Amino acid sequence: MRGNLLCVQFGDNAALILCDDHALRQSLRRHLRHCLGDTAPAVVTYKVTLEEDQAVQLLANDELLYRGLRSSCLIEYLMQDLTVALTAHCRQHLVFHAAGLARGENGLILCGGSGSGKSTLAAWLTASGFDFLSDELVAVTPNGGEMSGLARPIGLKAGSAFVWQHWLDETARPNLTHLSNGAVLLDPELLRPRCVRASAHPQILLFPRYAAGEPFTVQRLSTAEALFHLMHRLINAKNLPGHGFAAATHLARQTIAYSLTYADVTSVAEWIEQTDWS
Amino acid sequence: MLDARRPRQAPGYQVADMESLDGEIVLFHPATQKILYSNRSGALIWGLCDGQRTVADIIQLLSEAYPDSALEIEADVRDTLLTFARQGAIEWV
Repeated sequence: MRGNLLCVQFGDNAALILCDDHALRQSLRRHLRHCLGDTAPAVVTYKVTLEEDQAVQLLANDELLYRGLRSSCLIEYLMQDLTVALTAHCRQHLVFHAAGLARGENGLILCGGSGSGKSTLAAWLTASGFDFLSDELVAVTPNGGEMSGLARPIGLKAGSAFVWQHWLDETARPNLTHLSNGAVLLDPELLRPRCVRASAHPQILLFPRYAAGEPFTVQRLSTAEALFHLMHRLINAKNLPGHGFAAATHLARQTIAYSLTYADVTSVAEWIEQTDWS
Repeated sequence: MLDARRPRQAPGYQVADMESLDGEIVLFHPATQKILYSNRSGALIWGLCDGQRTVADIIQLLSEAYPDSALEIEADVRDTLLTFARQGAIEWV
């Protein structure tokens, strides 16, 4: 791999990032270090440059995505775009809008839309001892045997600041990347060293719903209910044979599924501790 | 009037193997990306929507199969079919 090149890998594809500026490249490498690889074909090429006026410029396949003075904005735009690009081209895996965690070989898929608390739960559970695969995208092989994740930094909104305030000591906090919207990007290994894991076997599906003030409730889902929810979170259905319906059915059959309503992440963590994974 | 109508499964839906779903059903329409879930009784009712049977026929068939629940079945079949129709899962012939 060329010295100015980073390769982000997810599912069956990769995104190339060309960056000639050493400091910027180091920053990108730091943020993306858990998802770097070089075996998959590239579906998009980003070019990052530092202009004479010190503005940072980001191009995706020669199209301007961002130009400005804030390198945190560069990271934000880049992560957003490569997440979409890698998903849009993924044809050999089912890609779910989900967080992925693992305990040993056993994988936990936390499926949910924006605001369901995926990232908050992923961060809290990682700090509590789970291995981290992703807080945003999980790829599952069509036979349901293996799951992997886009292990980018965890994106915590302002309302979830309690997570890093609880788990990070003062010395670790300067390593957070603060975004313009008040969110932070958090390297999962700040929560727990060596917590990032490449793959696991899908075992449990959780469909969380954050509801402030509501009591913690758990409902075991039937296979059909799990399939119904899974299909709603399958992002690349149009790329898959039969829109991934048969493969998602298989995944629903071989896993245990629950829907959760929660207001407090600790109640979820306590419940998972007591859950039988077999 | 409803009882004389003949419901038919709307075309284009993929159906997950009912046996593997313990009798429940998930319908998926690739073109519209619509996904529907139904419990066991809904799955049975959907399976009987062949464009030949009337609503009354379906009620009678299920009532004979489950005589203890005949009263509930009558209302359940009508409600379920109206829900299916609203969701686009059946058509009236």
